[in-house]
Amino acid sequence: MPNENSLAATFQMQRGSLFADVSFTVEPGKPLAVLGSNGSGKSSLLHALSGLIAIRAGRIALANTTLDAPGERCFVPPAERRTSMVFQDYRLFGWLSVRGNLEFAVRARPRTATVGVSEIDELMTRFELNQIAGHRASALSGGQSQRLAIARALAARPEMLLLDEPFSALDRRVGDSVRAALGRAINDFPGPVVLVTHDLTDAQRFCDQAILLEHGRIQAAGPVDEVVNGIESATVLGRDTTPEG
Amino acid sequence: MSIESREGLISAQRNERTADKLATGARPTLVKILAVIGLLFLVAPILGILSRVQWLDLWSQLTDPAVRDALVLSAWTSSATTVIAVVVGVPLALMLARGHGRPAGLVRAFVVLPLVLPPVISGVALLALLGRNGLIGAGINTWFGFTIPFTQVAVVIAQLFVALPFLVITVEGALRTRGRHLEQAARTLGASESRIIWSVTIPAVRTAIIAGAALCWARALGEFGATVTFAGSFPGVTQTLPIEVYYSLVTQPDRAIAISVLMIAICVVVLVSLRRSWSGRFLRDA
Repeated sequence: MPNENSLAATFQMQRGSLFADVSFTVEPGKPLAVLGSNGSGKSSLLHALSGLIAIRAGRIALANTTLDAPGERCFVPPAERRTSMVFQDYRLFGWLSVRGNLEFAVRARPRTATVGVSEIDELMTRFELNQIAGHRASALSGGQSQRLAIARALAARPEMLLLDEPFSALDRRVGDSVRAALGRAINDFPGPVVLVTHDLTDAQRFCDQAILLEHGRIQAAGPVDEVVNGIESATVLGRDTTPEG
Repeated sequence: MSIESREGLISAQRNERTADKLATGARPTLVKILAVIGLLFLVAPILGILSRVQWLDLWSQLTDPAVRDALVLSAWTSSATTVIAVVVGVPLALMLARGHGRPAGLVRAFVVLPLVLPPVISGVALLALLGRNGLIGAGINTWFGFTIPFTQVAVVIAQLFVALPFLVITVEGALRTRGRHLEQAARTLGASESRIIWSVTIPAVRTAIIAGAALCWARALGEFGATVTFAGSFPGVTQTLPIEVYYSLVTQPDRAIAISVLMIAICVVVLVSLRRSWSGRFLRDA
């Protein structure tokens, strides 16, 4: 019985001239790993969930609210979706300070509950950003940038969290400190979480279930350990620990 | 690390220059010779001007009332042009960057046209539009009793026509490469479209706006053909620095050389400051 705050998605993506079908549900507290090689459609899938691209057919619904359903001429634009995405290339506002990036996210949405200073302070502490609060975001290291990107995504108070290859641009040592911070954030997050990765270890560490995507189609789906074990060798994913360009 | 690969590393360090050459590609002799000819062709005229400068005389030439008038006129008209170019050019760049398909292609063609159009033709086009008998100019003359050509307003219009594309193209490129991704991020955070334009799009491309404005200003400062055609060359009224150079070349060549050196210096300053903004902040903010 799916949780009432689940993400339910069944849709067709346009990938080049190819239309492919995917279908999955994500319950709060049971993060979904999206596995697959480069060009398998992982990022497109996240873009479709966040509303940055529209789906061709099918339906995406979050907490029983339809976000995108071409058949019903329904499309909720990304700004109204309450879906935060952590981009692979961070996409921080480089001209703003660390704190300024969080303030932007807090103020972006008009909201009923008043939030502000205390919420930002809490995020700054949780992601170890206090010492660099005044630094321009453009001057941060990779690990700092990624921690800020995750904190900024949470500052927008999303109902769903999407993460695109959060460690691919970080070296092993820095990646591990970010992993610890992200692990806590995912555990505390009340809504559905989708993590795109090509690292099987990360998938098993952070997620409960997984889908394996190839050419925009789901090749395997189920509990994360089952899907990972089913992937016979790393060749399916290419060199699975090598960061993508 | 195996012994073989360690030795390989050492020899690679020894042959760092060879490695660099391999990375960038070799430069055959014929290529070198032709390249030097090309470079000389670009450098020699500048040296020619510098060789003719009466350095002791330079200051008095540049402070001559006629030159000062032209300098002041050029400075304020090209600055006014740049301000107008930013106000209308940034929105135009935004439309181009966000547009797609045939209409956007058509708009882009019109934006780029003044870059390749002979400036004198630009001047003729402006006369055809705004001249006493022009498409709009006739109406202005009938209803308001004045004509635009051969006034300082005409100087600014001529400069704007030829210089605006520099700003639009520069900003559009930045919007496509940098703006779009940050706009997407702001959208997923829930920011409204109007808020995104003011607090994400424009800050994201601000260095490109500055660079485009500098290019636009430099182009406006050097404008000759369209200006002389559309605004004429009345000393103290529409005679800008380049026009002053052209007319004093026969009668007072030393003055023409002095103004030329000044304009070369200005261009060098613009280029150097652009280089900084492009290689420095522009990339670091990415």
